[in-house]
Amino acid sequence: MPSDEDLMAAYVAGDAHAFQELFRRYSPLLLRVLKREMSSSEQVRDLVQQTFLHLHRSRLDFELGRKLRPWIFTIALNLKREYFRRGKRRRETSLDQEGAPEPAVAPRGQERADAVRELAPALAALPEDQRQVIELHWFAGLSFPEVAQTVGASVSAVKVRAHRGYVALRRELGANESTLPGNQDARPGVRELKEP
Amino acid sequence: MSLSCSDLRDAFLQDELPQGPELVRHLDACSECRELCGEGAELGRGLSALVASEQSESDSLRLEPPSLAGEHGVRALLRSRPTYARVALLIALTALITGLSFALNGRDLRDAPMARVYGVVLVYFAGFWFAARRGLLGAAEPGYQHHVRALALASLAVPIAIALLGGSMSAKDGGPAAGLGCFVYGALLALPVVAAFFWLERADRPPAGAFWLVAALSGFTANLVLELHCPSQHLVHLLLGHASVGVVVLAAALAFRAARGMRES
Repeated sequence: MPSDEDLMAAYVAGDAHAFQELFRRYSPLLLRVLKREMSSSEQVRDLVQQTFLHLHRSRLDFELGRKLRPWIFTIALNLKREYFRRGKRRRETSLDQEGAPEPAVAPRGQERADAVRELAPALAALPEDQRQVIELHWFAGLSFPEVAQTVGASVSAVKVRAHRGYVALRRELGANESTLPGNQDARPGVRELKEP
Repeated sequence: MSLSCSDLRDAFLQDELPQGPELVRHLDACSECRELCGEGAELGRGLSALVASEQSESDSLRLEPPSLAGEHGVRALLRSRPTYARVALLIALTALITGLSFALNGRDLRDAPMARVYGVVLVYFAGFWFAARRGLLGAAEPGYQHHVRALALASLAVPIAIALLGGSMSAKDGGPAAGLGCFVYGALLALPVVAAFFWLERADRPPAGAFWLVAALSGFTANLVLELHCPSQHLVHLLLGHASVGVVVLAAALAFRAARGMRES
């Protein structure tokens, strides 16, 4: 299977099918990240389409040898930011928070359903820079170096944001213990993971 | 083999958590993943459940790729050029306008302080290049709209600073009377740059920063043209007739944008 970068190179060279394939690969990921804070699925669809239209217009700026994934998410997040800036739209409650979502994976149980119910609003309430990093890492599947490229920050800055976001989320989930790095008591879960 | 943060995330997503010394080593070094794994890995499991729940929801939304049928013609060709080429086109246009204006309507430079003229022209071209590059970067660049207003304001201040530094109130330098003529001349010759900028801009709806930067670009163009057209060094003339062009274009651009926003809302 060709890599994303191979497809992009083919597209720059004029292969229209490569564009379709890139759309097929990336539109679900973009949907997942863009739909947060949007009030209607129509707006999300429009943003995804705008992202690909911009990718088309910017295709000659894509440097071969560069990773496509951070590039495409940079476009998407910039367009989303511009969408909110234009007309000073208020960020809405995430589409998936409308009516307390149930996790789709039933076997994970009630405990998981509770976690989702608590996490979705807690994630939405995080400061934008922290939320963005966590969303890109978890929902778009980007590594921290790729997240750093996407948001135009250093890897260490991105990891600090993720750490702060995780601490805030854990606080929301009811974990009151301090989890400062180096605190051995802060890692009870490690023991549990090692001894299932 | 060492474990990365992404490996641990993927393991959570697949509900197959790694164990053993690799995990311990990673968690010893990574405070982020320690947060995910603390308290019975409550956060890691919660986030993976949230991702799973949203995955099925996103997959249910059917999407069609955007139509590229409209991406033909001169404008489509121009705005799909690489950023350096679009910036070069804009600079070439300004150079052409300035050159033609000087050839047809230029001032007599024989008695002019050439070091100052060259210096000012160089500053305006450098400022133009910088503002054009920022304005045409596009959404594929992280933070492409960061600080554009501050940059535009600084650009608009350059002609004002040059006027304040080099202007005089001496009557022999020509008075403010001809200021309106210079303003109209400079503004008219800057208009093609405004039009070209929006032709080269990739977004169908240009971002707010584009309106600020286009004012800076028109200010640079007008002042370039006027530097080689008008010999006046009168401070009031320079401020009202030359440096004001960018400021007025900014006011007009913002008014246009506000009117469009009101019409749409």
